[in-house]
Amino acid sequence: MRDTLMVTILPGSPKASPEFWQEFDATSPVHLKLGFGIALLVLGHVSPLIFGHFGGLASMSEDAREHFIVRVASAPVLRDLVEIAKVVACLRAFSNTDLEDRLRGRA
Amino acid sequence: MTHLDGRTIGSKLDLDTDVVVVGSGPAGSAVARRLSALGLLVVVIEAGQWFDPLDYPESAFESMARLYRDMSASVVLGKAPLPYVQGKMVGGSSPINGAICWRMPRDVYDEWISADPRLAETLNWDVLEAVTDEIETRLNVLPTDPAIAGPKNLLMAKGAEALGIEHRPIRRNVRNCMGMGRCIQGCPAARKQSVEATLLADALQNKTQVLSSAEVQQIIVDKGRAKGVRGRLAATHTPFEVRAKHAVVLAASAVQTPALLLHNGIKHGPVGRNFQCHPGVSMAGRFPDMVRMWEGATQGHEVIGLRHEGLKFEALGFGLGIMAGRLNGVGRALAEEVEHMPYHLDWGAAVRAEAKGRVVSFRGKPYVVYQPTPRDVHTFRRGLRVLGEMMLAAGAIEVMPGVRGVVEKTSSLADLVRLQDSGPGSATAYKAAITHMFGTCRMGSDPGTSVVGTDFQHHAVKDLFVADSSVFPTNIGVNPQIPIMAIGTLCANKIHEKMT
Repeated sequence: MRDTLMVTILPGSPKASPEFWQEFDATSPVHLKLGFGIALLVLGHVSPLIFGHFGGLASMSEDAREHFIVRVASAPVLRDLVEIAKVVACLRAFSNTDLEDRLRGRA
Repeated sequence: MTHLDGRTIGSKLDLDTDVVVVGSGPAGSAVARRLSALGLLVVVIEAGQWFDPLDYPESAFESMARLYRDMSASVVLGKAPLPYVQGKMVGGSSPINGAICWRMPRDVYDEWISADPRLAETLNWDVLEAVTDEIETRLNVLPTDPAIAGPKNLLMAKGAEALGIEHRPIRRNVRNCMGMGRCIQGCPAARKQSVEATLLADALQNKTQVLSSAEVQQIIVDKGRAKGVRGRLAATHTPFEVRAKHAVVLAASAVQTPALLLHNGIKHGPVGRNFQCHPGVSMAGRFPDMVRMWEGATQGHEVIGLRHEGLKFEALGFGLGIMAGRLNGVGRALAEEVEHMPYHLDWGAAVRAEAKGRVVSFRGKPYVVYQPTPRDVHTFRRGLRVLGEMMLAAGAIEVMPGVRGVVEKTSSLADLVRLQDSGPGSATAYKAAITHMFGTCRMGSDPGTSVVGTDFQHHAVKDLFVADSSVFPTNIGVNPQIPIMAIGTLCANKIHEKMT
């Protein structure tokens, strides 16, 4: 689910490096783990339910996920969770050197 | 050179020395350097690891995970949970800062002396200047060479010039900088003259020992005198004890130092209170040509003409993973912004905030309670307006304030003026972060309003000294690493004086 949320926030992002989630889980402080965990639960499962998607974010089509994430990104309270998830999504995307190499013109 | 790596020590470690210093950042390294040069044996204890520059990662995430405290995700407690950033490694934050150097501003110094004239007994201006001169020579502090400044810095010069605001190349502690733009992740080419490579290295030449990956937990106090410290080696939890004949010096930062005192029940005076800092906001801008913000000196130009308003502007340089998180939008809009990152820059405004907060300790961990005042938030808005104007004047197609409830992007000066004059009043609307922290063990002549005296010695515990920015009576509005080193050196002088 967390990779699904990550590519919903940043579509087209490459797979995370093999060590990313391991390192994230091992080194992130408690409040970040908690915040991200809540973001995952609410954005990945609870909010989609409210929008009628009983299988959560993973059950939605790409277009539906796009529509969903844009909508919650401006909703009170939910937008704060999106912000947390966005920071992690971007770090994850750049943990794979492909994206950085391409943007820097090194690929 | 003696480096004891706490990760490799499996049995209880006992050391005896003349002076033990807790923290190997700018203050701790300056203290160790001075005292060891005066012939004293010093042990410096550092909670973080000692990294070889070749091991510094390029990835923003990896550097956050390995080099920073709490993955660079420490936040203050308050309505606006602003992140604050600290390095956790030998050298403190100096290996991962922007290498920006400022001397102690005379106007700030005068404020301090005016409020407490007896501070001048220790903080003599001429002596401070002489110590600063020597430190700047040792760290090779010079203005950024235009040849390696890169577009982000040169465009800031252009924008400031167009607005008629005083600006200049940043003076940086680097030697033969290659403009790799990786200061914040640690310079893999070892061009940054951070303290572990300079001041601490000098101390090691004079028989100082460094114990790394070791967390100090207890200050040993016997009959009202500090006698040493105890703690645990980080990886193995093996205990250690360092006994000091003459002094225990705390130099663990304006967050960790007061927390250590509080955790040890040393609660005299306003310890932990008077937390002051420089919260900063930033403006992103998109330019018509590639500006490749990862190239050139990480932070090579600054705008100083509004310091009287409590504002100082700097070009910013982040790892791309961090920069992407600051772009507008989510979903496909964000993906498009990421593709345009070679055309984006980010500039920052650091605010000499008036707000005061507090460091508390709970179960041995520090927590910072802090909230910018309405006036500070107004200064955020002023700073963002000026940043936006400078960017547009430098040729940006559009600028992105990153402020909730305000236009996402604009090329209109009117929008920036509106942001300044009537933007959100709550700090929660702004993407701000805290750098540079001060004041939580302030020095002063009145034991009722200070934690340490004008000689840096704790008012209630003899032979216990504080040397880091927690002794600063106020924030200073500029990048503090050089003043921290200079004042740390004066602390060392006082320790030595007390012994002789």
